[in-house]
Amino acid sequence: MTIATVEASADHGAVCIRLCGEIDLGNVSTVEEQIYAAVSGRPIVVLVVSVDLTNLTYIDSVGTRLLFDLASHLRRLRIALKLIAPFESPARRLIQFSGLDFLHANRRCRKRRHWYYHSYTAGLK
Amino acid sequence: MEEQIRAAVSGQRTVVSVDLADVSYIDSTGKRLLFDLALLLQESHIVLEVIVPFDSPIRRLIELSGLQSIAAVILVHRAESSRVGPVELVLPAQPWALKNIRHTLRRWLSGVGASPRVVDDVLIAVGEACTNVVDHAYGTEGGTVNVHVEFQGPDVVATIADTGQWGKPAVGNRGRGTLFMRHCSDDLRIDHGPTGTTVVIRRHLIEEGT
Repeated sequence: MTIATVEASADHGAVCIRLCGEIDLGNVSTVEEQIYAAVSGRPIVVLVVSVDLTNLTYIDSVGTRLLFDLASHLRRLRIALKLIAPFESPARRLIQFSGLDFLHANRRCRKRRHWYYHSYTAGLK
Repeated sequence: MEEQIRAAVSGQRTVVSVDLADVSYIDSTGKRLLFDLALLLQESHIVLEVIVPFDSPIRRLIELSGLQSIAAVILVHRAESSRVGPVELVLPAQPWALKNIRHTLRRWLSGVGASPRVVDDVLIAVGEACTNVVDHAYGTEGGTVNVHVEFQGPDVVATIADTGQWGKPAVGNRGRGTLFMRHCSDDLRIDHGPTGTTVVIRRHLIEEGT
């Protein structure tokens, strides 16, 4: 079984999810369940969800689909999504290949070797 | 011998490799032992890898035994050769096998001196091709996926083959798989034939301009 860990923490209206390990067809549904569980059922209103992909050593179209589905789901709930992916990381390259036009980069964060992608939401844009 | 193997694999493990490089003969009781071990490990979600050199006298026996439908059979070049030889994996077309394919490819790619970028690219391209096999090639009866990787001139060449009949091409969300394969390779050929599908991925080992 492919191994990935999903660590979630919450601070006020921000939920941070750290993904470590590998995501493929073998474990994507388990990872998906854990992410959705971390986002829902919070006692306070969630305004932003950040998903840190820094320690993801493998991801492919199965995992990126999960991220895009999550982006759509959160957009419907008017929750912003931040994806944190270092330069040259597999996750970041695949996100770029996908040509996501509904996401944009926050240039200020480039110095920290991360890109923050925000989905357009009425509340945060 | 069975007892010794069972004792060796007890405890927390995810993969057990049995190296048959120095085994020159195996009969039906030996094959039975490997089958029993694969099934025993499967109950604990442990994968059995069986390593057999290409020129081994027992290669044909292992191939004909059908072991590759329940365990990962890895065919390797003999270690004494200085040049890194090809590696071939035959595995059940099951989601769990994807991780084993990556594990073997990582080892092989580090042996040929691939950069992290090239490793990522080859893993993604091969991973997408294998995911397609797992998803589309076979019906409920299942089948195997065959991955052959070798170094040819400046390129790493990976060939992924199945013997299934694809129900329908990957479209929609999973259609990104082919896009990623193209981005991660220098040349990509996909051949859907009546007896199966073959995908050939070429990736320069050394990146241009670096």
